[in-house]
Amino acid sequence: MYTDLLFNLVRRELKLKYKGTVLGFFWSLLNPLLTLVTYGWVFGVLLKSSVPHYTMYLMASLIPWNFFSVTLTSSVRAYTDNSTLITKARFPRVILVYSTILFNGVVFAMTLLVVMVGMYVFHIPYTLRLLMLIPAIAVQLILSIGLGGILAAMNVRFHDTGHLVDILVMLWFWLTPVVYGWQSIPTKYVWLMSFNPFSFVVNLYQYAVLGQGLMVNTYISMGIIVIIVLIFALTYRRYASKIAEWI
Amino acid sequence: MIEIHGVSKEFDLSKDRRISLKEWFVAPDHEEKRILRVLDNISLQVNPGELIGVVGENGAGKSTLLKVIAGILTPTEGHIETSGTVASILEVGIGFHGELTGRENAFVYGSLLGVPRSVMKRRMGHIEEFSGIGQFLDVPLRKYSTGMQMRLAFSVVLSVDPDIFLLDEVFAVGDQDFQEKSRNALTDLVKRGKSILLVTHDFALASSICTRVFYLTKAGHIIELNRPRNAEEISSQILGIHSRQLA
Repeated sequence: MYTDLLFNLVRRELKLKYKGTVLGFFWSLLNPLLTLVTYGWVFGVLLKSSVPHYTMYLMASLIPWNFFSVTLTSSVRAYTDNSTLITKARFPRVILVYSTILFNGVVFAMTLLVVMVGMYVFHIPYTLRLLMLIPAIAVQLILSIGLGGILAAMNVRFHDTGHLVDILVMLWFWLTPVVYGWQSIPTKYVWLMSFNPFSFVVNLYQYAVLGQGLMVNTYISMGIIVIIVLIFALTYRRYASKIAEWI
Repeated sequence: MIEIHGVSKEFDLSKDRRISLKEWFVAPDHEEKRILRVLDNISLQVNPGELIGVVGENGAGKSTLLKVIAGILTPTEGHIETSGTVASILEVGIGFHGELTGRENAFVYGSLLGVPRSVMKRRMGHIEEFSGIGQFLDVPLRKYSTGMQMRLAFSVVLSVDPDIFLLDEVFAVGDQDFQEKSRNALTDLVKRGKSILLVTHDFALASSICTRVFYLTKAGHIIELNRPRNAEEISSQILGIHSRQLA
């Protein structure tokens, strides 16, 4: 029954986002395209990145990253921005986190089409490896729900969380192989990347699109994601009923 | 049916103030606790076919009582049993957005009240008719007058068909004609065996449509009034309670 609420909330956000704009969802394509061009210029041309098919590599990494970062910065406020709904209506609170992620997921799905077009433009062959996009998206969603859920609940108790996330997301970006290649990471430090769950996710996308080999220890990365989801599930079970009281 | 067994609700006001991480660490542990007891050992039963009115001053805890019954807040002591589906209308038109049309808002609002989308589609004609909004249904809500917004919201509420209704001050809306219509709709619901708990400041309304009327004191006690026939009888009985408490 609450799936209707979920989809209605997503539908509402989508309608609000594009209402009154002439270009509609092209804005959602324009933003990553402009970032791509800028980063491509700075890292590909000026700093002469050694990554083969650099523009394509950037596309395959930056577009999932954009989805991830906007998911974190918006889901951290999923509860606090909807305090009226929380104190005036009864529904599973986590729906607000899901709807935030799903809404950004729809926008992401459209930008993913840009990646497909990019592959055509840069003569990257479409292979069966592309099927790896499915686990890549699945793992990203699971990680986003876990982290988003924890952060949203924390922000109810400590309003600092939102500000903290804004900063940490920026740092996280530079600590993940998005604009630089795995080759740039000194061999003795590569193992550290396994502890950054998003570098695992982005690695999956890079594999699907460009055949970039898996550089992380899958067990460690998956383990960390499982722990994050468990923390989310346990704290949510414990504190879900407190959200309306604390908000 | 609603059964409320010895329910008390306390708010810890001292906790409320420690909202940022800094304060969390800096605040001394032995800070004086400020507990506000809003509801004190409340027992009440609402049978099918009963419309119970709850009156009381601002801040007496009427809304808190409804929120506890609705399951939005958890009681500090006691417990509540409800049989059947519950719809709580603690504020008319929560989640309404000015940029969306009346129809779009109705869908979101309906799903917040737990109505599936398919059911909402079927009831849209009824909503259109009851609200008297006509062709405005597909116009953005910001073009509505306050009265029209309220009429739309209340029409959605009435198209919900749960066994238990919790209503907080929802009748101060619309013109004379619409109020009359809403009142009749409520009495119809009661005849159909629904349990309704109505919080209101309107003594005339409480005495005219409620089967029983309760007074919630500032101390959080609930006292049944003696079958008031008009608004004056409610006022005089409340005065009586006050003078007895002073004596």
